[in-house]
Amino acid sequence: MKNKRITAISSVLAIIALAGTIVSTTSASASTKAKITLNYWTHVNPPTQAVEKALIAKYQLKNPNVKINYLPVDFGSLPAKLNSSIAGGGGPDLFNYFQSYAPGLASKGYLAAVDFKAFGVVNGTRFNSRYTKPIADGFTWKGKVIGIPHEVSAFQFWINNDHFKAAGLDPVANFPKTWADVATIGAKLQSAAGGAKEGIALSLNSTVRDSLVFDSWTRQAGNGLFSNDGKTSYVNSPAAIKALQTWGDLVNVSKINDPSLGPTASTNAEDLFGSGTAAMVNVGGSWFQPSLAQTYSTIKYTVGQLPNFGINQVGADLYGFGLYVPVTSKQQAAAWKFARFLADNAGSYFSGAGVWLGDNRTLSSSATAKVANWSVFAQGFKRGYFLAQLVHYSEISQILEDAIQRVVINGVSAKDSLAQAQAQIGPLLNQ
Amino acid sequence: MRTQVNVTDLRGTFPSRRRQSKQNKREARAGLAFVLPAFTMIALFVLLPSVGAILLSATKWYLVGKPSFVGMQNYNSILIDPAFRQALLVTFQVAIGVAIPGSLLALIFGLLLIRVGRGVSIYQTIFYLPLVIPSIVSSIIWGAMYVGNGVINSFFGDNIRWLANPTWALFAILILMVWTNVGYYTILVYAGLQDLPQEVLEASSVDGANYWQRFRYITFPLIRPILLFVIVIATTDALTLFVQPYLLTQGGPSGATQTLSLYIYKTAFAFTDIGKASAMAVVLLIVAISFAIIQFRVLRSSDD
Amino acid sequence: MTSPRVNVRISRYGVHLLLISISFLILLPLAWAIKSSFTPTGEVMSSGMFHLPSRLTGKNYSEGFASAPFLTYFINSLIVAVTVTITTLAASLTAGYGFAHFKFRGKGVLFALVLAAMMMPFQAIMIPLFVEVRKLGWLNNFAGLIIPGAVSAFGIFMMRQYLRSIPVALFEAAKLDGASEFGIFWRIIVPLSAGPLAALGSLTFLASWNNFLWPLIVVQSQSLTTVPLGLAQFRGANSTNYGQMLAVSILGALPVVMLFIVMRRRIVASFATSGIK
Repeated sequence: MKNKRITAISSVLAIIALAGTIVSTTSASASTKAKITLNYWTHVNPPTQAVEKALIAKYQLKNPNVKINYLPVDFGSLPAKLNSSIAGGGGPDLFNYFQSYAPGLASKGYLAAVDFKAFGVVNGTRFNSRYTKPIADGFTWKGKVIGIPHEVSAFQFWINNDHFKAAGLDPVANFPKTWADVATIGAKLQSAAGGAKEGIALSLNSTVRDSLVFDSWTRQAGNGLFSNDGKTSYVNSPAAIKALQTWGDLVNVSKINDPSLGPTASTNAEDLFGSGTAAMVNVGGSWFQPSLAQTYSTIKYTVGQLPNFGINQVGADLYGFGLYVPVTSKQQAAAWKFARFLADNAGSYFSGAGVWLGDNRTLSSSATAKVANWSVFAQGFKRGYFLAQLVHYSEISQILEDAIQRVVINGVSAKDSLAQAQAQIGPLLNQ
Repeated sequence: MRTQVNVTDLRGTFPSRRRQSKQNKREARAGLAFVLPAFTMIALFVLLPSVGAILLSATKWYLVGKPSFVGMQNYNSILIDPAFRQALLVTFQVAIGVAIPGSLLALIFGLLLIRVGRGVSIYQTIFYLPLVIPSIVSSIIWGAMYVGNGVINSFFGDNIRWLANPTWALFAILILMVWTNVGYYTILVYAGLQDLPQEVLEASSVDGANYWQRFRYITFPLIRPILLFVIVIATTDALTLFVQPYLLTQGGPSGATQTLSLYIYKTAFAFTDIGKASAMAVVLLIVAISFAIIQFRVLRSSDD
Repeated sequence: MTSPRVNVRISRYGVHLLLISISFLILLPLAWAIKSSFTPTGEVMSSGMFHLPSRLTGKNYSEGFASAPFLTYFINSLIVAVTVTITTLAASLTAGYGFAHFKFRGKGVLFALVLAAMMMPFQAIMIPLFVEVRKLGWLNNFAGLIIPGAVSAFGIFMMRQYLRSIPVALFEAAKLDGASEFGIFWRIIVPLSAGPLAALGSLTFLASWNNFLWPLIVVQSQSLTTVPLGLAQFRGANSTNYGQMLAVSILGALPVVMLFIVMRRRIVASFATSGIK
């Protein structure tokens, strides 16, 4: 009896499997006959997703023979997914990727140089003229342009007006200018009646963000973490030690930040600010304002330049995303053409998601006049530098994250922590 | 003189020597024919890669071009890598944190089950369900339950930041893993309890021993090998724990839930540092095989 | 002093009560997930563990399933799981039989190697396996998904254990009758092994359906994505849409849960005896 049941079940399953194979092969062949299918991968960011879904619909309407498969992937999974897929000869046709990760792919020969003709410009010079020099440089690798800038941002400093007032401070007059200010003001904000749970929310648990924060903090103390060519590391330089020790002291000495409150996998530092848990935050770019309006609509805030040490006026690091095409794509020209369409709709990204694609045209367009505090952001862009382009950025940023956490969470001295980091980073520098 | 003559075999008629060797050859050929196809697959897709892991661990390679030989450099670099040491620690914490509560609960559940006549299979089915469900699904469900303003917190009236805090995140994973595996451990204990010699137990109760004495002096010593087996299995599972931390915490916060398997995957596929990842894989291989051998020995001793 | 029979009855009810409470606790997360899958997304978190939502909705299922190519994912998982189950059963039975009842040179070595393969964790070999599969050109297609996992060392071990327990006399007679080896195998061994084969088949199907790590490495396009991979991706992109997330997850678990409920006795029995997952 049991045997009969098993035979019945297995034959049904076999028939279903056979049917499935037939279905999937016929549908596959049907799709390649008439249409070009472009696989476009990007990182998860809901406001941008909304904008891109509308743009994709528009593009498909204008180009009926093109079908775009849109796949948002969570940020942390994208490097592994891209590396293994391109290594295997596959991968997407176009992907939106964090700019710092690109050298890792470019050094392996995984990225196709920008096809200017398909993109629709005469040559490289005309292409670069669309962007400022620091930004154009950030997407050039060994003399070749390898990506289209597709979001450029820099963190600003945000403060909660109500928390400031409750502590008897004026959000404009008392906006912190130095890190010493941050320490004293943060203590006042925490001790005020009904005050914030933590004076400041600091970036943590994000290798990407923390490397940016650490690099800019170090630049403010004198020099960046790496030489521009990525061949030399200044991770244990006095400037870096000073920067990281200041970070650690805000947490462990001034005690105006509590790492156990976050950030976490689902709650960013700026979310802690938006919810009122923290009175200040050192991350969040122009893209944060729509979030504040939508999700945290009751908050009254002031956004300004990043505090510094008073040595120079360096601000937060520039960072960004780019559109890249893998060498394994079989529709490279079509991919660049679609990338051009997205780039030309910079206005939609700006108005819909508060995201600046990095192009000069949007920076000085009339649309920016409608964005509150745009002069603050524009000034921030001028004060920042990209982190050096590192081939082993993923591993190095992880080592930096470990070094930061040793100081911030475990109270190790910055000098000791960075000595260890420097030893680990040595073999990973660009050759 | 030592010429051998056909000796009467207990089985009866004994074929002549020549016929016997031809038969042996036939048997050998048949045996190999039955074994080789499957074995070749195993050789190609399990044994060969294991050798490959050892070879790759002595190279520096980032998935392009040719690997370059670097000797023991990768092993040196993992020794000074705090993330590797932390991954080992996390793996150890998961092993203990699942084995001890898991085996205790399994013991209690097993002792309860053994007193039940009918309905055992219904309970077994229910206990087993968490293990049958795809690990992704249970991770998604528990992930949703662990959310800050979510179900678990509102039920207990607490506000524990489950996945935000390093300590709580580890607990979150441990609770999920115990929930997933307790059914399997219980069934093992139950099977072991079923094998207990009933006459000894009955004899002792006639002698006046109460439940606790019977348990302490008879049941527990006989059940000990099974419990040991559970501990060994939990350790092996901790070594290969990947899906739940990958989905729930991606190894964070600050590496508090980054098991060795997760770190190997990250190093190999996100960092594409194949040499270093392979060195860690070899460490994993050695530890896993050692525990598997222990597992076999414990299992065999429990059969005695 | 209460009579012994009353004592026994009370304690047996007590045991059942405890077991029912334990079962309730174990099923609680699943029950909550099912309830929440029929709850509008905004209310999932506010409904709490036991309260019913203001209204029940099937939209999470319909919209969730439609928002990603889940039908493709299901078909892919089915193709892989069925194929792997068939090959595993065939390989396990043949090799298990060979190891159990034949003598040949090198048998000890080969079997020791099978045991070694059984003890190897997948994570230890996944990197070289990736390199190997890439070289063979099997990345991102069914060959890469199915072939490396088509034969299971554990399956060989399990069937060998079982077949060793079958008395030789059963097929010795057939041999004397002049039956071919294959004939014996097909007409005696296979029917005799139906029980363990059913258990092994169910276990293999379960493991294949639930497999996440290898598909994560091998699959690079949506047309090849399997159910667990699809669920993880869905969650990645929709982490706050709890209702839909739970609905599609439940759908993804249904096939294996149903299989388990049908085959549970065999599966549980096989674990208890072989003692290895």
